[in-house]
Amino acid sequence: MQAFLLGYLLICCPTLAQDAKPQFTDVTGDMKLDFQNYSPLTPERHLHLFMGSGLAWIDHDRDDWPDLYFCQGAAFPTVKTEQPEHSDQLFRNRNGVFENITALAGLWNFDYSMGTAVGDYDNDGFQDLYVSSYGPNHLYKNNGDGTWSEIADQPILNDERFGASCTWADVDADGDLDLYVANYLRLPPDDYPLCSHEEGGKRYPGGCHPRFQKHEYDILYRNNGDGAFTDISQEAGLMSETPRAGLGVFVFDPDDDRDLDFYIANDTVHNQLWVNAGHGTFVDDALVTGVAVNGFGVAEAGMGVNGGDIDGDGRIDLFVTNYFNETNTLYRNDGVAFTDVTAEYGLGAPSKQRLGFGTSFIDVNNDGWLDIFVANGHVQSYPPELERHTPFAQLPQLFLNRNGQRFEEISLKAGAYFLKKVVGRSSGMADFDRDGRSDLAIQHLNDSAAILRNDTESNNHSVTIELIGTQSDREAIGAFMEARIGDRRIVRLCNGSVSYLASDERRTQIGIGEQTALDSVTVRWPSGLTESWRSLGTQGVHKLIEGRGHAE
Amino acid sequence: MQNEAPVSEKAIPPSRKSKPRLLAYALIVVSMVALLFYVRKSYLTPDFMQQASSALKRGDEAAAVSALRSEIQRHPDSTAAKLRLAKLLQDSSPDEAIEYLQQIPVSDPQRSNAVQQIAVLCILHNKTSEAETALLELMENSPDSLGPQLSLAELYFKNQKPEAALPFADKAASIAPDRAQTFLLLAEIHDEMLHPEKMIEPLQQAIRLEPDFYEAHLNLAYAYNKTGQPAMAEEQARWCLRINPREVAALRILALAARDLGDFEAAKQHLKTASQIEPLNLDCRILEADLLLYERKPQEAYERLRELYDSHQQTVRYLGALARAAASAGKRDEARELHRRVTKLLKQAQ
Repeated sequence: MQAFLLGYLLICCPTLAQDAKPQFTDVTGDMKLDFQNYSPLTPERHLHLFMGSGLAWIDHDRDDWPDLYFCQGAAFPTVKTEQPEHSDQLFRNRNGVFENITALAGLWNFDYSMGTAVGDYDNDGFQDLYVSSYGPNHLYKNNGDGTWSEIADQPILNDERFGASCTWADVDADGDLDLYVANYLRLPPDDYPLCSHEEGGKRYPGGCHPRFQKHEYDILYRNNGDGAFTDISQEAGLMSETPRAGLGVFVFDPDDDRDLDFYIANDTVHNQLWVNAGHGTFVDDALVTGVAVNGFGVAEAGMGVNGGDIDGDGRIDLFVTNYFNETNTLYRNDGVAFTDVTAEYGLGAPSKQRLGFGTSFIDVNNDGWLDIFVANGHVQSYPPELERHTPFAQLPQLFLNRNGQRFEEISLKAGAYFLKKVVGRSSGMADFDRDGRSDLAIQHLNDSAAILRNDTESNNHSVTIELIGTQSDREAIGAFMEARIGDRRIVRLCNGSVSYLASDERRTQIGIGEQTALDSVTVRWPSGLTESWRSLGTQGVHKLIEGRGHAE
Repeated sequence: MQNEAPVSEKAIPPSRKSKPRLLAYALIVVSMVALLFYVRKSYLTPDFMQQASSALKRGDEAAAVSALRSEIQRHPDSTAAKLRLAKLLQDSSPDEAIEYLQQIPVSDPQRSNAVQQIAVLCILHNKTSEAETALLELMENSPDSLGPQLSLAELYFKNQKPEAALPFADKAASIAPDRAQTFLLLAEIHDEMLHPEKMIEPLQQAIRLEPDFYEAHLNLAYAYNKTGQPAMAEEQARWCLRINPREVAALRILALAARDLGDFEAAKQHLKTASQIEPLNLDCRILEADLLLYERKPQEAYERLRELYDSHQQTVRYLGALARAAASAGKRDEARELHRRVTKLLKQAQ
């Protein structure tokens, strides 16, 4: 029986038989990337200092090499220092080696930065950057000459609520990018809720339970198209229910009605699925579509979120990272609703003793199936003798997607980085060395960031696609791509922000196994236009310009 | 008494009443009066304690209670009477029993005995606050004694105060490290505190002490499942099923472990066995529905859950599961309504 089964798998699923060994190498030092996260913990253990900061893969100079922006923390604002030393930092990627160009670019930000949203909001061909903060948020415009300017004449964008993940997306299909900011808790420095926990008969200061704190409403800004933005949160319906503790955001079109919706991972309260009802209004449909809570009916501690077609059925599934003693949760998109299939896909048990933050959908072996990386680390730090049960630093995880049927944890075989406990936070994906394999960058709390180069050896290839919108926003965020190789269909999204506080490289890499080309790619643009391109090979990058394909 | 003197006066002729004789008579009278006092005290005053004992010998508890009440009325400081009376009243009138016991002063050598009885009575009759006070007094007087520590741990645990229970359970475990039950209690406290990862060590210790400790094995299976160790959970669940093949909780853990390990057919088989033992078990039915949803059979999942509607229409977990199955089966309006009811029930519970 087993022999028969193996034979069957060899015939139907060649990727199983020709298993590449996923391998990542920590090349942080070699790449001259010396970013160190700074978030000094206070004796009172102020919660936001544990939440970490984000990162963004962004091609700041349009040289086709993805550069890397790191958000930076800051000391608790009891004393304002005149010359703060710790800014966000921008590293330019020059042929796979990084150089800190923060000063050259003039991209200083000394606030406690959290999330990143990369998007060309003015459609000038250069990616811009929005950064949320514990403090005022900032919009930075890419001047296109290697320098950046903060947009200072739009104070509405400098909202001071505790912002977390944020993303660009054209919600009204007018061809320019609007902006969604997930806000977390109300934690003003002068009225900061402080709590303590008992462990081993002693009390230790620690963050207060988010469910019992004051939550903040999220914000939706409409891009007016003239460089100005309007806060439309109220009229869009975001205040139609109680505020939630938002941390993660993902933009996609789960109801397939050709406009963009938002999924928000909220901490300890119901997640939200803001379904775009058109006319600039949104309705939270999370409960009835099965993504507000997990399969046990429990609202989990949503941290990061990512989406992609996990099982090859052409629909975008969702994956949310959660708290220690919860699972990270995989919601399979079944069309009319989502189903929690975490345990069935082998993702439940391995995540119960982890606290997940960043999560990247990365096809590590280019077999066309999306694998999952998770950055882990707790938000409570105890003295070493008490850490036995709730470790602050935790092992990161890598799960290999077995033909859309199940995930297998391969962390311990995936390279030295996966053998060391770290306090992982944000993670983002890019092919930074342009070898056709997706790599990872990871932020660690109060520790050096890491770049993991994908050194997986296989005969598999990938096709790289960059979408250029003309009627749609130039970045085509939320565009839906359906690739075909023979009978196989591979679906990818042009993602907005993903993971936890992060932005992946905007280009899309599609693993095609041992094939040498995609037969076709059909793109459903945010504008509503659907068109296709044929025979896309593995060499270079395919820049697909809206309006220049074969109309469908 | 007033009638007796004249009688004697009459018995002695007045002519014979000389001064010395008068004195002698007076002494005799005083002696007699004293004797009469003594006699009356010895033979005429009732001995209530004795009466109570006799009544108890006869099986007449009411009479015993009455006698002891009289004794306490006569001697409000009688510790013995209070202890005996409290014992007699502990079932019929626990409040009164506790009141008598509480009257025994701190300085009394029997105070500790009385407080012990108070604690027992209060625990038996769900007087949490009084029990806590009594047990804390006992613990203060005898900090290294197992009883008070363990009782406090159990008391807090029973009253959903696991954080308060934990230090006492820890202490009880250190005082009597050979008592397996204490380690089970510790594990249950950790579970209540949503720390299943901390259940494992005390349960392993309980099993080391008593290898055939069934509840410890079952709890360990649960803890391994909760902490993402399905193979270990399976091993413990199988141990339980060898002892009790009808243990539905163990069958469900086997099903969960099989699901985690990707063996869905085995999971379904375990659930089928469980349903033969307890056809209406909610947890098993929900798990069965989850597996059906995974197999993209939402209508079947919905129908299997719907069968339990009458018995679980007020159960939040059930309604949530039914709502999810309904939504997947395309019954969105019904799903919305079920979610509304869940919200309402949760609000009521607050």
